[in-house]
Amino acid sequence: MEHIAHDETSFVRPAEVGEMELYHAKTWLGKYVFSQDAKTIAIQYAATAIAIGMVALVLSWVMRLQLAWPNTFTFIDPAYYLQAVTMHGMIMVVYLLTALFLGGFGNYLIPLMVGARDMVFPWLNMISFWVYFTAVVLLAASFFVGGGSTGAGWTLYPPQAILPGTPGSETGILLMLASLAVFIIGFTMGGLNYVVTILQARTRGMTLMRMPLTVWGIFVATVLALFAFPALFVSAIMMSLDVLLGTSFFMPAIMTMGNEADHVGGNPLLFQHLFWFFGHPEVYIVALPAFGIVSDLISIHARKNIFGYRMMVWAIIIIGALSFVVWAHHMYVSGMNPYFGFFFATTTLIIAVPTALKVYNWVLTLWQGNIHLTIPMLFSIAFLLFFINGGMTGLFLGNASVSMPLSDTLFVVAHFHMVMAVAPVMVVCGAIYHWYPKITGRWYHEGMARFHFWVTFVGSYLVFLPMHYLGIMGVPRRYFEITGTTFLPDSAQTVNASITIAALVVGFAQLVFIYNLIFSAMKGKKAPGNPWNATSLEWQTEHTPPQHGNFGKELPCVYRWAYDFSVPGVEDDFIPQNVPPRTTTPEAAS
Amino acid sequence: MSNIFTEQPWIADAGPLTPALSGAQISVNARRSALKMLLSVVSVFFLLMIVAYGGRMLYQDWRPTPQINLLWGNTGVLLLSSLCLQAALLWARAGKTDWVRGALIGAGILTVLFLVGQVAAWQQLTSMVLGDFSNPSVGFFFMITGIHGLHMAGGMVALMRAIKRAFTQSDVQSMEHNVSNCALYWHYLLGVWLLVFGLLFTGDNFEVLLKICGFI
Repeated sequence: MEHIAHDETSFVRPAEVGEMELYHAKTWLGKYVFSQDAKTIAIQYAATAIAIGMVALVLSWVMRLQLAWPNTFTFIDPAYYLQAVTMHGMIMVVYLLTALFLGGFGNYLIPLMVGARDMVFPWLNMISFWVYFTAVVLLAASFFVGGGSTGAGWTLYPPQAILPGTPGSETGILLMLASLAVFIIGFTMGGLNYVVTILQARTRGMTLMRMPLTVWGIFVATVLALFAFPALFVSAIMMSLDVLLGTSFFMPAIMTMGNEADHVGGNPLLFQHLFWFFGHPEVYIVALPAFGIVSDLISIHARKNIFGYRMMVWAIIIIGALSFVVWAHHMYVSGMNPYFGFFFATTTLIIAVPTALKVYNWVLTLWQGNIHLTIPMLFSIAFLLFFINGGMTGLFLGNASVSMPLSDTLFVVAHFHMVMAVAPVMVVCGAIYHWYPKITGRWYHEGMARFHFWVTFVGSYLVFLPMHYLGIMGVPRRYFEITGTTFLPDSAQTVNASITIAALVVGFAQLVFIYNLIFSAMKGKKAPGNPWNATSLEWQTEHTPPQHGNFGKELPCVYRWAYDFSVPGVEDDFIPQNVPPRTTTPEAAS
Repeated sequence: MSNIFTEQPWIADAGPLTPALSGAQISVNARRSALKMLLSVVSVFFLLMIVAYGGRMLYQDWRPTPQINLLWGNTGVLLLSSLCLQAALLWARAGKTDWVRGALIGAGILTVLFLVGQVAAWQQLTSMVLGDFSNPSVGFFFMITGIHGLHMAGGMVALMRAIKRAFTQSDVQSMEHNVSNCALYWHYLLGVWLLVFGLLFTGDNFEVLLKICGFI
């Protein structure tokens, strides 16, 4: 191995900005409950998100039980079914995936990966979590109020959402809207923190173009969320006013239950535009962090630098920008002008270009790599398969003419589960296994992890692949039951039953996953500080798990990107970002 | 920004780092950056409401909000409060601490007056429409003024803290930072108010709004 100089002062000028003053909690409450340490906050976010996500998982079982064996389970009536559909969707998209990627991974990884002591506004960060927690409590409270939670579907379309007859139209919908508004307030606090930390608290040498792609993904997703969530916030306020004050933002003159409603002149389509102006970027708010994380996982576990780093960064930025001009492809059947539909079909297909580039680059990173089939790598490969599958069906649904007959069928459900549910969840699982030794200082149980992977991977395919065929046959989504429908053969019901069995098994595997995480945190084997021989800064901390302040006495200096794997002429197959360049003095360089 | 386009990240350093490439060496006020980011988010928020309002105006049954003259007075008060903060900023830069304190208190009082005036305008409108909020323009009036008022009220929290620090701390530079951030926020919300007041609530600005929203 060549000699490496360690005299950092030869290369790095002193920082102009002094070290941030860290808040050191003096009480147990201050340290573990109202903590201002981003790592603790990250774990709080993750635990809360996973807990409410488990509720959503159980709700999916409720749906599947009804669809597989209609009228067998007496506790599932049409109203309960619709409530389960609604809450499952909203919880999974907003309260689990968004919160986990940005609040969980964002909080843990941003300061560590950019070489900062903490987020720039630790107090605001703490408040952000507790506001999120309040939003989750409000949402969960809607299960217990009179009339139950809303059953309007996760899109909450008016006028249906607030008319009598829709489950939860009394209180459930209001709690949902309030919860969303509170969530957005909390997220804005956190989001400002993430963006400013990435822009201003990077350590010396950590240029934007040296940041790991994980940070890029979280950064652009956060910017998207900051600009997309206001649309949801506005629509939540407007719908709340329609319910509470009798305004008519979205409610047209309408008959309900044989009576004329008080509303007049509202425009339901306005809600759809506002909702999807948020809703489509939301897909990328979930996807971009997954793109970034999986890039790092693939590179590290294939021991190869990421193929086309700059292209990957620009693809993330371009996808983020384009995501704001595709929203109406969710509204092809709303009666829009065909030219309008053409515009949105075109932008939708354009966004496939940078997305496809990313897929090629992941595959080319794997090509001739020294692939280690570790658990994170297995989940990364599974992500690729699900994402390519879901992406291809996106080409169908992005075209207005093809999308219309498939609209509101299980084909749509299969598509978005493949591309923005299962695929990002694969990354979540891979990422948790990848950073678990750093977060806990212990190894997870390998056998349970492999069981979790294979059951989740195969099981998810068994759930969502056949669903495409049901959709093409015309099976509609959100229907309580389809038995006795003349255009559907009996085999459709058989497929439905098989999907349910697979879904139950996949759900069980997640319980094993959570057991593994909890059990191993206490009883797992001790893990070294950098078990994957990774290069980014979070693996170079003095302590594992990292202590408050992340790094030792001094912040690390960065001399290179995060992808120096298998560098020719170097004995080890990795060079950490904080290892100085080979013996080159400033004089020699000049 | 140029290094984002030209940097070749796969090449490791071979010499001293320049300050421009080094994050921790960027000496920018983080609070200022966060505030600017927040104002960008708030801009999207108000823009969406204005576009929604413009879209709704296109329909045949559109009925504008009744005129409320009190809003002119409220606008004047908000303008004065913003001027007070600008004066406070200039005095802070000149190190005239006592003047800064007075201007900050003046800005606070005027802002409270503005908020009280807005509530009075709400009451006037409620009595004008006899409690019938089904007219969309009335709904928009309440929502947009309400949200603007909430932003002003939120700003008051920061202003109160700035006033407290102006009386308890002697660090002039810190005072200037606080006053500068408050002034930026107030000027911004004054701008937003002038925009929504001018476009939405001062008579028949139908065509102007439609042009801005790109409908004609």
